[in-house]
Amino acid sequence: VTARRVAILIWITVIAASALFVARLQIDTDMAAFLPRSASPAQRVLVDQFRDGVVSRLVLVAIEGVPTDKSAAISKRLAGQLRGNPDFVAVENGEDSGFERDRDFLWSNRYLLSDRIESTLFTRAGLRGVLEHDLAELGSASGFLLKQTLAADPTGEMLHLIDQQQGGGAGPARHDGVWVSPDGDRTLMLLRLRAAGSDIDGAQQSLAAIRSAFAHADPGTARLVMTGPPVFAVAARDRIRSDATRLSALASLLVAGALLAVYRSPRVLALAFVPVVSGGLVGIATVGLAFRTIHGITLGFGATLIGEAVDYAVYLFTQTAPDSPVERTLERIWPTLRLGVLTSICGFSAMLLSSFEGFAQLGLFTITGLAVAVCVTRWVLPGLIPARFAGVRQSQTMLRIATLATGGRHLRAGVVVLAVAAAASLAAGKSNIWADDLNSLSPVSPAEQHLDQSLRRDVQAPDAAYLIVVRQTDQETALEAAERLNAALVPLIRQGAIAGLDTPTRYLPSLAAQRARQAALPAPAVLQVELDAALEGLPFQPGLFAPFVAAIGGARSGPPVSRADLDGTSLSLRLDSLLVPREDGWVAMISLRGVTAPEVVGQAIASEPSAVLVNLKVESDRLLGVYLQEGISLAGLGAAAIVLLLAANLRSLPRLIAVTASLAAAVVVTLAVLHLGGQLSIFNLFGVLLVVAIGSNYCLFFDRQRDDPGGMPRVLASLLLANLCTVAGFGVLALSHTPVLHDLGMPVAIGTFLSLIFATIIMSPVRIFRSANAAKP
Amino acid sequence: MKLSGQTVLVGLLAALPVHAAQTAPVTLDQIMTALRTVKHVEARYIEHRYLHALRSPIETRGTLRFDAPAHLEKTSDPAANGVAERLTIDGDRLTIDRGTAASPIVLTLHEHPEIGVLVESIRATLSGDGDALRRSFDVTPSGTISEWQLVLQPRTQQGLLRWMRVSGYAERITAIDTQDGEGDRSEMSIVELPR
Repeated sequence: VTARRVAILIWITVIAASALFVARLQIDTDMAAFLPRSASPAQRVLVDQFRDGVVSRLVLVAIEGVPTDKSAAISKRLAGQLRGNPDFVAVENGEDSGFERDRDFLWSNRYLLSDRIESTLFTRAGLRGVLEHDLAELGSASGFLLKQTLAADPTGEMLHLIDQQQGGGAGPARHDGVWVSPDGDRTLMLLRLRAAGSDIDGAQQSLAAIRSAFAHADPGTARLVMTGPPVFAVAARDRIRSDATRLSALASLLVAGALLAVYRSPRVLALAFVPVVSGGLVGIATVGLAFRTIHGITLGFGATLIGEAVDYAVYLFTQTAPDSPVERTLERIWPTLRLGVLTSICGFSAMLLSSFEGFAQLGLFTITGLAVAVCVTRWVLPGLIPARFAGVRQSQTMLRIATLATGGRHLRAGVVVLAVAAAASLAAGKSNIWADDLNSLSPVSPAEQHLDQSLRRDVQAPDAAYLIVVRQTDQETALEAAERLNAALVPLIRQGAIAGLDTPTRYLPSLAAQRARQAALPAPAVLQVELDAALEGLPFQPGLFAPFVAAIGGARSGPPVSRADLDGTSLSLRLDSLLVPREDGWVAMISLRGVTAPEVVGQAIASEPSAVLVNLKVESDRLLGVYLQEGISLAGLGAAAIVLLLAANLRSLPRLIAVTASLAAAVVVTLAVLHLGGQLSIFNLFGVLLVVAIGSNYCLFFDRQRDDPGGMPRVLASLLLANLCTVAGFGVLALSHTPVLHDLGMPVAIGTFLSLIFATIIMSPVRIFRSANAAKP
Repeated sequence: MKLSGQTVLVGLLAALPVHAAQTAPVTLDQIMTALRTVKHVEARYIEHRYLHALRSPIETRGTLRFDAPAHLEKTSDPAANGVAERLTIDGDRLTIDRGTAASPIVLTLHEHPEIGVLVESIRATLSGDGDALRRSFDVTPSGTISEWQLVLQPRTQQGLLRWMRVSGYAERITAIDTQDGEGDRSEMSIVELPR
């Protein structure tokens, strides 16, 4: 009795401490937790881009549902409000207001920014060529473009810079100066949030600010549509949160309903949840201690713990006969329970080894949760059960079910045929049975992805498919490396290997390059002499180019361009996306457009040892490949550990074969059923691991019952009830729209049910039952 | 008598419409009506540009081609370096194509209101769209139908076009002169090719 009190005391202390800790725990919904910790440099770029890259902060806004004139006016009012809000780093809707600063910056720094500046350009021969070209240009249809800048910029550096910025494209179509989709149905806006991609609270606040500004922009019947990574992140978090709470509540309700129907006692029902709640609390607290935060998806997985941990109490209650104390039942079932939990822990410990933090969290949560649940069942629950607990009577229904199960052995051949057919259908499938598209894991629905793609196309936002990444110790060396790479890459544009590129040095050249350009500029007096000689015989008015001579003089002796000069321009946005400080130095990125020959690009950058060519699409798919491979090998490892554990405990080949055959048949058929609905995801794989963990418990109970045939109806009833709870708990998850929850729920609901059926058929409770019947009068 | 006098006048006008129109001061509608009869035309042009930046004008020659209602091409003869330039106005879109590797310059009316004015003045005139002209310009016709002039002054956006003077007779255009916001002028004389 004192031991029991001590157990209860320990339990209360642990639970109270866990509850206190959990109440303060930060919930994390960053999907990057489901990316590997040990990533290649290319994958780190990918993960960084996910977390806080500029792309992760872009929100695309469309206003639709009203005539273009009206939506353009709304767009201007909305942009005007948002430009005053410090939460938005950039607000672009095509209006010139945002670009005046860009033009000012480019114009005043044209001789330091242009990559065409060389001393030969300013000799009389160089200038002569330039002036003859200008003369021809003035006579052409596009002469009006040059006319305004001719006197101060005869070499056309400004036009060259603008040409480079636009990358050859003309940008989105416009209406009344505002970006519109090509069909004119919606106006477009591009916003960059101050909040990083991983700051979902910040993103949520910014999105609320957009909605409120829209409501104040006199929208009438216009609709506001938003897309982009911050929008997805907020929606995913909301969805995961609501799914986790809603589905956990629904699962609890279903399980409670089933238990209440069987036990007809609210008190017993409440007791059945004690191990579950204890396991869940301590599980969350342990993950929090180990990882500092807990991921929303791990929390969502809490619903699944209800499915398995409630089994322990169910076994205890249902297998206790009215006239015997629970202690006796516990003594009887404890070896089986212990082995069952150890089996589950074996299966899940493979997840602990995962290099994906999300899976490691799931593993730790489940292992701790189950261990605590079973300990509470063993040592705490008996002390809480009232002395007059009547147990469960062996009812007619139990007998009837047991009788029904006697027919099972005739179906053995059927199970074999079914398993072979399922294995064959999996093997015969032409396509890969595992989905290798990262999108299949995304919590973003296909409809949202489609909207995002169409808006991205409309606004011609960069898709950053190819990046060249170079890592250096400081900003200057990173910029210099980017300049060397740029020089190696520009010839490829003419060769057609790439269509174009964007480099940070367009916005901020290295100091070395700027100094070299300044050195190439002649002194005003020298320039005047060369210019006068070049003008010989050309019809330009005398003195026309005085502003040009003055500008060269200013650029020659002025300060170099620094990062601060870009503040307030939209060019700073581009620079920040291409030049990024990291904890171990600076990363410069060159984004490539229209890459047709990646191998040529690879050769061109080979001279720069620290440069890596990254194809983001290939890289993210490769990431999933790593993910899948790791998942499959971890699952294999878990399965092998389970078989070893069973072999060590059962110490009999026929018994081992019977147990593993039931499980294997259930797994194969489950996979085949899931495959009917399309490719399998990584989450399905871990679901199958759960099937093995839970299903093995059923098999072990059947196995142990060889020694006590008379108790079979009661054991079968407890297994049925336990499975009902599991199917309810996981079946509910299958309703979720979040792929991770849905894909875990389906296999477990199907697989554990099949495990029970197949174990019933293969492990022949029939014979045992008959002998028990024969023993009765 | 009053009644018969009117009848006589109406009869006279009906009998001799062309003669009457040729002597009376021309109206915008008359010019537009005449121009609307032209569905397709090709012509040679000589253009002189007088720019502040230059002591002497730049001369270019080439071919014009118009297809009603809104397609205009201006193709310059190849210059000394062999480069010919084609400017196309299609609806509200202006394209300048040098035929070189560089991608053509494409500008639209909505995007650049200043260019929109330039494009609209030419398009509306050639297609005989008097309403469109009145919307955007102060229009002053002068002369007779056998030798008319049309001066267009944009109500807003005078940067690229301060005024345009189109000269012609009947349904034919013989000259287009323009001046921009900086006072630079262009004179273009046009000789229609046999249809």
